[in-house]
Amino acid sequence: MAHILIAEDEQVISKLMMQNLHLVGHTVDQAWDGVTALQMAEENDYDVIILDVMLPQLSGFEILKRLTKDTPVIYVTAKTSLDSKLEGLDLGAEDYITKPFEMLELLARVRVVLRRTQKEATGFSFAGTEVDLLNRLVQQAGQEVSLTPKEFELLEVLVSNRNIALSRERLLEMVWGYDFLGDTRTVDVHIQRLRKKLGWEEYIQTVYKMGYRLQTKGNE
Amino acid sequence: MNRLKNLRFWQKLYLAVLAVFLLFLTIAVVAMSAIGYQQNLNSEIEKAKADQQRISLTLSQAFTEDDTDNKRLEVAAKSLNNGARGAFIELREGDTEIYSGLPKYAGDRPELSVKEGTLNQTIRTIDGVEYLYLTSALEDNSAFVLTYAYSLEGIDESWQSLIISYVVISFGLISLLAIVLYFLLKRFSKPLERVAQSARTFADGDRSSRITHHSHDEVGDIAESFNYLADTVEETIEELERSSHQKQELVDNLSHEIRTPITAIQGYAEYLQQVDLTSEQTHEVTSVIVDESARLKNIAENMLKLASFQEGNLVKSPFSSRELIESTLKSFYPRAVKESVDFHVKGLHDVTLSADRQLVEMLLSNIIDNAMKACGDQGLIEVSAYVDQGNYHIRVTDNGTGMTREQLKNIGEPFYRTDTARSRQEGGAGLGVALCKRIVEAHGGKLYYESERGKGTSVVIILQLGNNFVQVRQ
Repeated sequence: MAHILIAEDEQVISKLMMQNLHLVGHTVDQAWDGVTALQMAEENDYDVIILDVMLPQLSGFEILKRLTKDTPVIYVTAKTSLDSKLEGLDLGAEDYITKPFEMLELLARVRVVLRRTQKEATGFSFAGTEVDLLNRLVQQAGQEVSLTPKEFELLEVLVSNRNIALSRERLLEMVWGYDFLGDTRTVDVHIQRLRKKLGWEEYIQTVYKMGYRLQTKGNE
Repeated sequence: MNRLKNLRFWQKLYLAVLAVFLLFLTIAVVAMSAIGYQQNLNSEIEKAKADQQRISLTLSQAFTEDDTDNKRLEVAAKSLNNGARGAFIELREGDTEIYSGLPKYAGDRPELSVKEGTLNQTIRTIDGVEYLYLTSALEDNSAFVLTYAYSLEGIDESWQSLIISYVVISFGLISLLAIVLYFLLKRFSKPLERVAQSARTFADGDRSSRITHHSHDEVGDIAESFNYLADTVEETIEELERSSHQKQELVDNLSHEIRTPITAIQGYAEYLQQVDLTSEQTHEVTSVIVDESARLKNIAENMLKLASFQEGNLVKSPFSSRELIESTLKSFYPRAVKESVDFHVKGLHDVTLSADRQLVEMLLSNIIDNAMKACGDQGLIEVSAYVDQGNYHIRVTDNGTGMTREQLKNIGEPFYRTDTARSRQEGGAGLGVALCKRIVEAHGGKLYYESERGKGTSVVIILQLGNNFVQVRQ
């Protein structure tokens, strides 16, 4: 899993991002001002830096200008103007998220960056189950579990957003896409099959009035 | 006509001057040649008269009584006739012609009936040539009539050649004028072109465009006026840019201040919804949501207050300044005890304020609140009120952290905080001082800050005595 630096002076926001990144298995360092952030970025090898633009002492743009390493950077900012967005991307930032944003969105953007830099986890192992994300294979006790492509995609989404409940609508959108015409019962049917095939009735939890969550915390 | 309209100013001037010059020159030439002709003619006439008199005299002497058939007179007249010089004579006795060298003429000759002692003068055109006819009776012998005809062909010719030379000279002068005038006007219009060029450059966005070299004439005046205009416009534009930049900054700050709590609230609400939390974690998350909501509320309220002052809606009522200061301080006493801060109240000069009491109370509370935040342990806050140089002062001095020069400069800007992290933790939005400033300004006063890092800060509310808001208590 990835090692991430969060440079954000708003403590609540920083903590919020950290907690969410922890849930899906990343490790996180925090910096509260620009100078420290730059120093930490130079001294450690981070897979991604999440950088606030309006940082005390040294702005996020300035940090990227001075950074000698080519660590991928995702800007997080309250500035919505196109100019500021372009400035950030011109400096070579990977992505640009404006506040307020959904944590799922942040996780998705981090995943995209990791995939591009090939730092994304290629496998996932939990409760005696080995998921090979690269070859799209699932094994339990040396035995291959055969999943349909949609079932595998659903598993992949649950794994990369583990410990976070995803609504049925969200799952539909993430696995089947926006233009899928079926209703949310499709999700229920596939979840049932996945639970049965993997024996994960306990781990893939139904969250009341919300959706489903792959709970790994407390189940290791 | 349209082509005339498209001419440059100097070109119009050029054509106008040339036209006027041509007109006047023509009038001068015509007048001069007319006068010249007349003078020439007069002198010819005088000459002819003298000649005629001479001939008349000669013929009178040639007359003898014995010359009955007038043969001698005829011979004399014939000898006096000088066709080559254009002078012809005719001598008659009554209706009988003695001799005639005149050009052939078939018309009436009314001039022949001439009285003794007078001279008839006629101009007659024969075969396209003008002749001057001078007719008189011979002296001492009035039966004889002498007609002297003088051809004016000569003066016509010299007059014509005079006109030709006039025209040639005029043409030469006009050409010369045309050339000289062209260069002169072009040169004179250069500065104007420069003014136009500078104005165009300015309009195209080069706001440093000015006219550097200019004369002290009207064009120079225009250049100076242009420079003045450009200066003024430049200043105005810069002012506008500054204010628009400030506005943009305010919007950026506001957006940052609002988006941050919203992000936190949204994020933690989702977290609560999506993640399996222990009751301890749940409490932590909900606390953040409550705190951030309060912060958002705080910002919204302060922004609304700020906005409402700009419309200037104050609810004025008269009240005692001393009573207000004392009651405000009283509300801080419990906190002061808890944070071990001492209040020193020295000589509160009392005036009647005719102001918005709620706002002034908020102003004072804000200032004292900031003073208490700045104080550490063994904090000391001095409050005094006095009259100085016609102004009523309320001074609040703390012995807290103080501010740097940079911080002092920015204090009062909306969303500016001297201590970012701490202020946010305490729920501050960076609007307090901005709000205080607005309140004081709305009452026609000034808010004044003195501060030194490490030594503390003094805040002085300065209100002018005797304006609409402050009266001296009798």
